[in-house]
Amino acid sequence: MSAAGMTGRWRSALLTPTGLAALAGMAVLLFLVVLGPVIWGDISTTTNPAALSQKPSATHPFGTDAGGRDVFARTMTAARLSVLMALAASAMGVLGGALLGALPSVLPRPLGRAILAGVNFALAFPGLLITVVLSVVFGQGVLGAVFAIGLAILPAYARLTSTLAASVGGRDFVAAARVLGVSRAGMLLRHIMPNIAAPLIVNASVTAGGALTAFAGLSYLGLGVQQPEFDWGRMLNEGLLKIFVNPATALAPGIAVVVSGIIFTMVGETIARATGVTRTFSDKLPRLRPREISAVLTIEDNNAVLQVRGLQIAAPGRSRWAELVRGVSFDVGRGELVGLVGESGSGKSMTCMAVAQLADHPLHVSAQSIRFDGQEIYRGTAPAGSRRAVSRLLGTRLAMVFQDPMSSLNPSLRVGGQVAEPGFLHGGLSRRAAWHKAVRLLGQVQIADPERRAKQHPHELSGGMRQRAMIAMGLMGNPALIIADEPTTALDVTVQREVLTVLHRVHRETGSAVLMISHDMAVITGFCTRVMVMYRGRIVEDISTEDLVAGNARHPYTRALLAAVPTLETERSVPMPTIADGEDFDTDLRFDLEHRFAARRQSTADKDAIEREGAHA
Amino acid sequence: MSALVFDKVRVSFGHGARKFTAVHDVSLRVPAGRSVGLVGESGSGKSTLARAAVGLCEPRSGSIALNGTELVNARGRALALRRRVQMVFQDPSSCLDPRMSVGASLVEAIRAAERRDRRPGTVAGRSAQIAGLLESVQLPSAKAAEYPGALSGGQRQRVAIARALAAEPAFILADEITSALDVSVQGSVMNLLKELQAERGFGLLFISHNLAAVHYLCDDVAVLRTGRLVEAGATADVLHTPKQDYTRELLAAVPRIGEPLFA
Amino acid sequence: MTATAISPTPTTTRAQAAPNAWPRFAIRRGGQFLVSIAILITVAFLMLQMIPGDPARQSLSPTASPDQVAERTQELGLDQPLATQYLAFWKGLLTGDPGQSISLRMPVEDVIASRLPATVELALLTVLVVLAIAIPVGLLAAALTKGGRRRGLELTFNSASGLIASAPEFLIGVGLVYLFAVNVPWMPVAGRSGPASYVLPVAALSIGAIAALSRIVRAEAMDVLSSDFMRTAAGKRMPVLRKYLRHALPNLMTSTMTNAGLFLGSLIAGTVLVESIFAWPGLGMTLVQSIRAKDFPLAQALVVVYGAIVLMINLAVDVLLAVLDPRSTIKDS
Repeated sequence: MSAAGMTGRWRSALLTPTGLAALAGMAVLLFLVVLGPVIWGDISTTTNPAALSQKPSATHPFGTDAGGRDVFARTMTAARLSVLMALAASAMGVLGGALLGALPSVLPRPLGRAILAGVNFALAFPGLLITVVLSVVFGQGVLGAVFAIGLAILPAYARLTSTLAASVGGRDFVAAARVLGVSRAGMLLRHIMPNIAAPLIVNASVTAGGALTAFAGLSYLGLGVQQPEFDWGRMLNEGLLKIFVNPATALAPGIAVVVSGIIFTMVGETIARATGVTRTFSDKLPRLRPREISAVLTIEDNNAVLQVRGLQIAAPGRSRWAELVRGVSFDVGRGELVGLVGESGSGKSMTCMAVAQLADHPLHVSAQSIRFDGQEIYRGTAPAGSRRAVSRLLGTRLAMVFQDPMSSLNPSLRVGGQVAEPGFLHGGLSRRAAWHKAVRLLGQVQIADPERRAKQHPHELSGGMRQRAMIAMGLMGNPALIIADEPTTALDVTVQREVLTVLHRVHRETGSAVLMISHDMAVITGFCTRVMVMYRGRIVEDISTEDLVAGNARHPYTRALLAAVPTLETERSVPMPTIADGEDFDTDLRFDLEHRFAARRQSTADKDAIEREGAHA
Repeated sequence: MSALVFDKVRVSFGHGARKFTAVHDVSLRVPAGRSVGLVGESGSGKSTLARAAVGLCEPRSGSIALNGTELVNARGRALALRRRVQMVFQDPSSCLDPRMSVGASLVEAIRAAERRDRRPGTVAGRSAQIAGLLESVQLPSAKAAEYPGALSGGQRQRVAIARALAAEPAFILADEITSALDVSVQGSVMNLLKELQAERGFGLLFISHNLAAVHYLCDDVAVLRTGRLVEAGATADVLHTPKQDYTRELLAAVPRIGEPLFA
Repeated sequence: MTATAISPTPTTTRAQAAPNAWPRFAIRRGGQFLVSIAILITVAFLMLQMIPGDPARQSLSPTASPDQVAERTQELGLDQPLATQYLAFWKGLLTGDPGQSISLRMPVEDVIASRLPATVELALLTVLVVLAIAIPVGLLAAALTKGGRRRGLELTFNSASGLIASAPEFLIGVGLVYLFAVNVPWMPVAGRSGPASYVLPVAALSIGAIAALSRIVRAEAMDVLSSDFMRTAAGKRMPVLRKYLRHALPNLMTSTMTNAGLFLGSLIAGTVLVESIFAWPGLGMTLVQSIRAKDFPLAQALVVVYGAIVLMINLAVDVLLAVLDPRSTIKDS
């Protein structure tokens, strides 16, 4: 990130309500710490036998305490001690903890492990208990309290640091540095510390808020600050004795503790936003203008299972919308095998999520129309028709298979139950019947011993089995379309072949169409009869596989993409054809509609529909 | 003829009932100046074998030697020699320190090499070296000031290669370095590796599950399966006339453009 | 999306439960518990030794005569060699006779026996209240604000829960005392007599914990709700309640229970403060009194009791987690 970007982030983090409040709060605290005792110091210690334990009045806004001293002045004066003690203890806990937590990644292994074991043991006990025990040892008073609370903070911080350090330590750039021979100290200072600093600082400010209340508690118990010194906790202690007579004496320090605690927390949140620990996007972006569809495309085509017209998807950024899919239109015929190919960021997965109505907030999805299985399911910016009907239609007639079969199945539930679910949700089956059907379907997707597998959890199945279980889940309904989003990308080639075989068999036996999304030209051309190529949010090519393989692609990007794929026949002596980093194929928008539909006119698939489109255009 | 030689290397993790052997007595020779492809499916132990060579994990038995010098548990001169073996990793999003500029990452590598060779370096010399390294991986020298966040995946992998080159390596172990890249970028990284190898003569161990990439880039191929060496030999032999069933199975499973998967 | 290529993920066969996972878990976790108890007892013993100056003199009034000091030194066993003292400390704890309280002039074990039930009752009741409220609230908050929707509600929830969570138990306690003692005297604000007397101490202890835990549940739930398997669940178009209770909740339990375990520990510690406010005759109030009175034998014994309770809670939570999520036992051991 550039320096300008950094300042920009800080500015936008500070200009939120939280940021402004944190800034103002810090200014007030700083003012009180520096000047509080100077301004109110004398008044706060002046006893007045004539005005003992008075109720709030104009001269004493929070009344007076048992010695006749002004409670407001005392609260202001106590800020310095209260805040400084909290900061001192946090500094001790945070620095000590960070050191202790970072050491294991530098020290020899047994020593590091011993430190971690000690930290974990200390962590088993709550901070307050440790504080109380330590206050026995250190005695009561300011210094004792600072030591007690500082040491009590230390283990939690050490643990946080070591967890963060371990996660950074496992990354490739640290391994690369080790291989280069960078020293352990260099590794810690240059690689680990800078990468964990942001979350540590965020936590440090929250810790400071916690320390503040911990001191108040300790002093309240009479184990902290001793007379004649006083902090907010001490004042609370004294105020509580008088709570029936004059509640304001307890109220003033109580408010001070809570407000300061909140200020520290807000500072932490602001730092988190500014350093990017918390990700942000604006929710006040102007309305997005829908993409104009230049050509008129007919909608009434009962030969198509899916018709998408003018689909636009955008994601909010910090200052503007990022348009991920820019007015895409396409059809999938009944029982057709269609591939959607493209590189990362082309918008291919997003398109399918939107079709399945699984693109979640904050994504903005709009479409002229999406029709599925003869029914309009999306129009404008919302699902069309009754929600129930659309849900039922999608739940029974649309099946989805996702890229990562491990994370797509619920780790806490049995495989059989997950597969069976659509059966009793939409299929009108009893739970029992749905389970039996699920077992049958698991067998049908070539899972051996389906009875036993159905009772297992996803982590007990192999990757290929999980993916086939996902397919079985889709078969619980009566799918007219299976959307498979990179279904084999995470799998080994041999397993990939098994999964594709099952998918193809399902297509053959049930007649369902398949829309397969992939970056892999070989898989797409091997599986599908028609290929659509997506590039920067547009479909730039819509061509039969036959034509594509024969070299009849129209768009230069498609041709470049096809040439870039290495095969076992690629000539080794010449350089691989490549697409240069900055190369831009994104020149002609009209290509999207006119060329594609013109191209389709010659293709074999649903010829009639195309001719009708032509008549309208 | 110098070579990086793996001899009956065995790597296992854990103890007792949980012991898991990732690499089973694998022997492999990477001659200087040649490129050897290491192929296999996930869990075949191909990455583990490479990591053992650079000291990122420790073999339980066997030896890994460079020009006859043992690299396992290397100290002193042997350690300095081991630094001549460099590794480039798979994931472009984690191969560079996000808090360090490209230049700073390269300086770190240059300084490590200076320490290794016990030669002093100058600031001017280092910045000249950075420009040279970036040029050799076909990046403009202005990129030295950029942070990884501003680079594309392909550019990051180029910087990672430049960082490895800073150590003036005799061998480079490339662990799935093109797998996470878009196909349009993969080709340019492979071309780069080929050019660099022709220019600098390092030996290359190219680890990949992508048989076509290995076929394009490598002179020899070794096939691993669940930690065991299945077959090794010249690329043309192994990938066109495989002797082992597993290699045939692997080759048959690879989808090819335009070849229908199902008749 | 690019090729998320082959990574060395552990194969499934390795992730499967070894048949002897449970005994291994029992031995490992039980051993850990016993070692922790031993360290705890040692720390409690050393607590007295680490006090700067002479503990015997400190535990007496400043005007005490040298004879009185000598007598107290003998009473505390401080005249013995360190090893003898250490053994005697262990023996005292194991035989259930940890000595005599200086301030209360009665055996320590009797003090504990009479005060323990009040604290345990208070803590258990609080835990039930916290879990019963925090989990639904956190899940609901996550469901309503996931994916950055309802920013206003998110801000309200975050600031309200943050405010309450950062207000320490004792402040909430003081506030409750003030409210109910002074303004609306419906509830007893001190002592332990009848069901109504539980309301305020439990409230004081639980309000902060509810806020803190519901924040954590929300954060965890946001993660779960954005996971791939919840997308799968959404793809099945099921009723909302089923989606959250059947699919999301079980995946929240591991992290929620882990955090609840930590909260339970600090809740136990919180009794120290809350008992003092509500004059609740439990261990916490006694611990504070013993420290202020420099009643070292009682303080040491109470530290051991408190620590042991916390360790037992941690043990119970781990066992519960192992039952709920069998993968966790296998992962750790």
